[in-house]
Amino acid sequence: MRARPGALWLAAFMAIVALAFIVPYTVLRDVASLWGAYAFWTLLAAVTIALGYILMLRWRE
Amino acid sequence: MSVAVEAGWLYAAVAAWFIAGCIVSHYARRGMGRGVAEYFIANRRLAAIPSALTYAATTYSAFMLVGLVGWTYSLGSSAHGFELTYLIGTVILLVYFAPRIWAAGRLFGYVTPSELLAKRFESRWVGLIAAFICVAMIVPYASVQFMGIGYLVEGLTDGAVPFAAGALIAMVPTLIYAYWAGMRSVAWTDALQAFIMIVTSLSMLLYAVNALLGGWGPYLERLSAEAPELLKVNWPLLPYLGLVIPWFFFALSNPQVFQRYYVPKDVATLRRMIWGFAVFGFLYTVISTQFGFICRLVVPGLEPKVADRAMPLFLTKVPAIMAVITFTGIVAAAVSTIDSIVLTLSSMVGRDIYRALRPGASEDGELLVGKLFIPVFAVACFAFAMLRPGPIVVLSAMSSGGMLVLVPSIFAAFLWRRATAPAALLGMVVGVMIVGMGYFLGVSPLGVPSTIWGLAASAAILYVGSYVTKPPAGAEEFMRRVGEELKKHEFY
Repeated sequence: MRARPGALWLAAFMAIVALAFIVPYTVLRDVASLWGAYAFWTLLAAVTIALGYILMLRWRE
Repeated sequence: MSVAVEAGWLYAAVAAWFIAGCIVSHYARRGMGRGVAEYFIANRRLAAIPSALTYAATTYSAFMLVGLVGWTYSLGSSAHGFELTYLIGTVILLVYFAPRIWAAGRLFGYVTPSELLAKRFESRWVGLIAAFICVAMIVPYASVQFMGIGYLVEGLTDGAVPFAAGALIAMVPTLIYAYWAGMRSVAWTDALQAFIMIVTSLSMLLYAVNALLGGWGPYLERLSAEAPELLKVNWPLLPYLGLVIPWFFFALSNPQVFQRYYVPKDVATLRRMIWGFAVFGFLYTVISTQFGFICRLVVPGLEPKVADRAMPLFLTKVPAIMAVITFTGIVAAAVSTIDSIVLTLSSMVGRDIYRALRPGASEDGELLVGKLFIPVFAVACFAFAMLRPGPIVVLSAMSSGGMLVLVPSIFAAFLWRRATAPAALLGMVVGVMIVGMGYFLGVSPLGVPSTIWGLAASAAILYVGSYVTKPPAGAEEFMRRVGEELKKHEFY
């Protein structure tokens, strides 16, 4: 059975939200560098914006 | 060494900025038609640049370069995480809900956020209560913006420009930009403010890193050496969640941003609005949190309780011209948020309160009431700021949490045809009472903030209550017609 594309996008976005809390509060919690949680949150936000843009490309008038 | 900015410089910069806004407002008014939809949502015909930039400038207030800088100063990377998690949530909600709200607005002629709820649930009381909650929660939030500018000018000029003049500097343009041509003047002046916000903050950031800290390399070395704890995650998880969750749903809970989903003229414009806002928000967040780190190096030693003084104090350490430019950017951020709030609340008074109480009222009457409330709200926010009543700070802090109780009903409006008006209404009322009691009594049961309890109560009552009451007759039709639009435009 093939998953609906909408369900895949939902899963991707839910994974991003979960990662935004789990990764910084576990593995990156004590990393005293801008390349730790700071960079992770920055990257995750950039990825979300890029995914959102890709998703919106299919919208039609 | 601290240098106070001369009052004359400050007034000159604000006057130049204000005149530029008036010119933009004047041009925005040309070709404006008649009617409520024309005045409050630009007749759903706004182009991409004003749509994106009014969304961005409305969302990002003076909080960014004052409050968020202070949070980063004391809490470090976690504050950056808070603001970017908000942005992540907003992008996701926008991609899903903005096309649905945009389509419903066109299909059924909605002007305000609470009108969507009232018509979808077929109950004017749902719209009325939603509008009251928004007014009660946002007026104190807007007042605090005025207070922020008042304190900022007082601090920058060493008292030469008093608090009242600072608050007035924000109030007068707010009133004029909102009243002049409604959404058109607000959107186009917001576009100007967004441009000023990004250019002034980026210029200051580059100046600070290069002139004060010797370039990016030495700055980052100093940051790692002098404040390594700031780069760790040191905001305790539960309080962090208590703040992140209300902000995560900001795009749905705050009427001044919700109303902006009605304005793009077509699908391409809607897409550009979301994309443009997201890029702006990303850049502005990175700039703002970098200032938090920079302030920690340039003006160290502030206690966490007074960390929001970091930016005003930092501005006394740079040449006056740079301080004035940055100050203008902060005023632009404040005014572009408050004028949108004032305009949206005024439209809600006309449509969701006046028309709900007088169902036979004409559109001209509604427009008149709405326009009358623009000065009423602007002056009320100013008066609150001047009186500085104690509860205003509490009310302002709970604004996002208080409006969070509307979110379950907004979700249900599009996703659950079984949802009913009595359940939505009771959920909102009980939810906002729980949030209010939590803030005013200062309690967080089981360590969980009252905003989360309020949201949970609102959702639970909506869910359970909908099974014991009758769903609205037109829910099926609403879902079907919105669904057809989603298919037509290939929205997920």
